[in-house]
Amino acid sequence: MSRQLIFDASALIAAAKTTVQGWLLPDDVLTYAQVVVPPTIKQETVDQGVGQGYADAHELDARITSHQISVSPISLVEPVFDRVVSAYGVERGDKEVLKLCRQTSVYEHVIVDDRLLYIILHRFEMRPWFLPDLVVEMVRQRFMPSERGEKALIALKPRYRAGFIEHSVEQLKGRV
Amino acid sequence: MSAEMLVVVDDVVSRYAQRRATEKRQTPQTILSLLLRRGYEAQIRKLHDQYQRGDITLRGMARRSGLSYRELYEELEKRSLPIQCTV
Repeated sequence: MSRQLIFDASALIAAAKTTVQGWLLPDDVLTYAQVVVPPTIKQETVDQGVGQGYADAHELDARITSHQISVSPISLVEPVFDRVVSAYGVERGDKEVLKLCRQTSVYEHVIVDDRLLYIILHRFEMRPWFLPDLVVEMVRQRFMPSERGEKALIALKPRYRAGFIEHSVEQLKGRV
Repeated sequence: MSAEMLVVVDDVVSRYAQRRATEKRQTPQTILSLLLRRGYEAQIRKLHDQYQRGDITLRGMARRSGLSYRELYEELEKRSLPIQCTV
């Protein structure tokens, strides 16, 4: 499988807290694409979560340990890019997501939930998607049954602003 | 988990706490603790508004809240505050 997705932490945590019909959402995602995260995202999702006993952190830890989810070191050295990103006043993890997108040419989309980060990624033409967009696409490409996709979207609803999940459900049904 | 901290308050706050303590049959310390808690909740909501407007990222909110990223994620869930934002 050559398709790659880069995940930010909040989208990965939301996915790992979502189980539908006995399937953890990251396992559906892993049938669709390889998942790659930078080191700080691993720290935020797994290391900080395992320490506090969160079940989703243990699930992600197991998938990282078995190399189903890859942690990619950041090697990019590009002072102008650093300066442009730093001017936004974003944090280390945000910078790592941006740098990983910059240094990895083969990824398909970067999955984020964060408004400012989404806008910066969009301005760099780094192909950001929200997690519900990914669910809709997985169903469209038959990597996930439609019924499970809809249930996953509904399970994600409390974490999202009004309108987003309703929109995605209609997209999933092909009505918009 | 709670922690003890010595806090100096000005005269009007002190008198308010003593008055409320008498009315509510509680200690002034309990009233002050409640006031601080409400102030903290207001601060979290203010930071969340900034996050939703896209002034700061979720990580920026975590740093300003004195929480780790993961702690903040769980705190927002407890308060049913959306983690994903509109664009």
